[in-house]
Amino acid sequence: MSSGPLVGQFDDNVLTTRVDWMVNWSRRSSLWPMTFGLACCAIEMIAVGGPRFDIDRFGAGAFRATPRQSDLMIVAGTVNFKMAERIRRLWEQMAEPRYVIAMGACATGGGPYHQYGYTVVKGVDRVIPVDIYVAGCPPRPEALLDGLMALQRKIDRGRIVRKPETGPV
Amino acid sequence: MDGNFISHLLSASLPPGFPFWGLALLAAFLGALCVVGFVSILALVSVWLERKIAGHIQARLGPMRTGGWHGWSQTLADAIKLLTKEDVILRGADPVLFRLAPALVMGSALAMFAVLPFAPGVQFADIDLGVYFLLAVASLTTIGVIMAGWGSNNKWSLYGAMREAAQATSYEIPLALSLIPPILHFGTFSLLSATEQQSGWGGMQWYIFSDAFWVAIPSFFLFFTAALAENKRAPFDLPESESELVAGFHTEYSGLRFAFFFLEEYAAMFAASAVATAYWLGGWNFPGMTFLSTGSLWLPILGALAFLLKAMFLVCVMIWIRWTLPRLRIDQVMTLGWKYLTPLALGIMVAAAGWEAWRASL
Amino acid sequence: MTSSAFSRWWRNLSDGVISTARGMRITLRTFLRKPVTVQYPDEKPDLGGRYRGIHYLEQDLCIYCDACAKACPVDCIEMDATRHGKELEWHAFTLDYNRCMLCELCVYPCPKDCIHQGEEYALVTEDREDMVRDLLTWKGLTEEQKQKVAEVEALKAQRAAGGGE
Repeated sequence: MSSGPLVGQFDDNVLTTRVDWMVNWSRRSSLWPMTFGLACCAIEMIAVGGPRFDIDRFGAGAFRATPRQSDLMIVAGTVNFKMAERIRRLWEQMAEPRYVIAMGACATGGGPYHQYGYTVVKGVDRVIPVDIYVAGCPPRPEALLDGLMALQRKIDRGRIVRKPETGPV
Repeated sequence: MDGNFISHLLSASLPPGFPFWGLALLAAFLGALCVVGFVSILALVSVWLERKIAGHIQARLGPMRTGGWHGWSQTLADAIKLLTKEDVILRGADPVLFRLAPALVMGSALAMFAVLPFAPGVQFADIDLGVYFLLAVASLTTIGVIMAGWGSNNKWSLYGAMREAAQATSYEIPLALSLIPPILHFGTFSLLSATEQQSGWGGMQWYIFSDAFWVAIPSFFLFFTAALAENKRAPFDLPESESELVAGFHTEYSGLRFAFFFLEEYAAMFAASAVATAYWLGGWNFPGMTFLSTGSLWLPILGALAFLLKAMFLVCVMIWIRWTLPRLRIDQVMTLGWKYLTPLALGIMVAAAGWEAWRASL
Repeated sequence: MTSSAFSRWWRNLSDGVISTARGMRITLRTFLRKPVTVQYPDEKPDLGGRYRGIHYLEQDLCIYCDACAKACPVDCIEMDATRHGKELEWHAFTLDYNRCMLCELCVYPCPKDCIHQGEEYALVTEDREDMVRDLLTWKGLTEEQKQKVAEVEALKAQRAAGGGE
């Protein structure tokens, strides 16, 4: 998770809540996804970038080709064992803060290959930490947009300069 | 020092005994601040414009939900995010070149703004060889890009940098040659003097409307095309072609350092458009300016507005071209540069020289 | 020879200029067109009549026959109930959306026509375990389906009252 010299150093006050809000707002509004598709779910992901659904309305339309500049990895499709290594490496190359959406049944839990797919990783969360799971085979583009909005809500809950809440969050 | 409106303002307000070097330093510092602020706001506006124009060209909307009217604050969010993002510096990268490259690229883009004549009396430095300075400083960007490509220790970055080197050196020739017709016409390298010479006919004696329009219009298109290639804009964005080279020379850059490259692109676009505006489209001159008295405060304000509008229109055309044309192949880029633009620019230069000589002999 | 090379040069040049101008005219026309974007969270999509979305179960009609689980090609349905004579005590009816392909093969074999695929298309969770849905408590239904389920619930309550006599 996020760490640094500022984290958890300050009590709640107007300034720190404003700073938190601003940083969260910028992160939530500018989730540049990585140009990265694995299988059939990628077609739906491309449709999300297209005119009818238009992920750019959320500010997440700047698909970056390099992991260094992207904030969001949409794992769209079946994750093979061979591909899992690459996914792990790409995720490690991404700069913090980074987020992952597992899109579709294959990425969340192996999908139709759950039982007999001897080449398929049963869920990408066995390779990289996943923030949001989106069900469907493949999910509708609207479902991916719902996933993006769920991720935005999750980012909004984050705290950067304030002390973390004690007890269950 | 003369021509710099900041030093004029300062010398009027400071006490008389203030040392000259202090004034110069203060003026330089304030001028740099002005340029940085102006370029940041410019980049914010042009990136938002780029995303909106890209959206509408693809029959979609572009940023809408980030806040404000049609997501105008989108680029602000991008900027804050890039500022707060992790700054990755590779272990295998060249520590000096990798860090220096964005600064050099950014610095060269900012230096271009020193000689642009924004409005009557609003210019940071009126150098006699203004265009020379601009071309020289613009080529520093290439060196920065090569530094980034080499320093990243990445094969894609190196490929991008080598493409940029080949492309920039090739297109510098038609770029400089296509500037010669207006230079011959106005008889000056100074952008300020060229702009002042276009103020006739009630502010409409622009170079493209002058008697030399038949060389002015092709040279304008040549300059625009060469400037696109020089600024690594599509269809000439070979140095960062993401379909082949991941992200070209800035593959390994993240966060703020990438933001510098991003900012440089838009600053250089605006600078190229501003040069085209000052030489071909009459600079700050606008129809109806003769009705304003010479000392009026409205003249610099409306002049700056006219200049910005013309330059931003050209920036929008660059964006429009980017979202229209597919990327060229590298050999096509070189063919276009050497076999088409350079001979054309030479021909236009000869025609312009003949025309000006004939006109002078009358 | 030279003249043909020169004319080819001119033709290339004019072709390039004309095709660029044509392309820019096309993009300008699209630019001036009304965008086709459906602004999703504000405007709901038209799913058509036969969309296969997230399942819902009319629990009261279900007879615990396991037909849907047997039909499922990926074995994602699991159910557990205890029989008390004719009455069923339900423990779980889970559907694992980590595996489900939303293929509708579970709907056809049902003798009581009690498992359906609704119009709810988005199942978004922050935890992978939440993807295993208990259809007995799953509330992601459309208004129409909720009404249907309420009718079933009312029928069930009526029957329970009848059974208590």
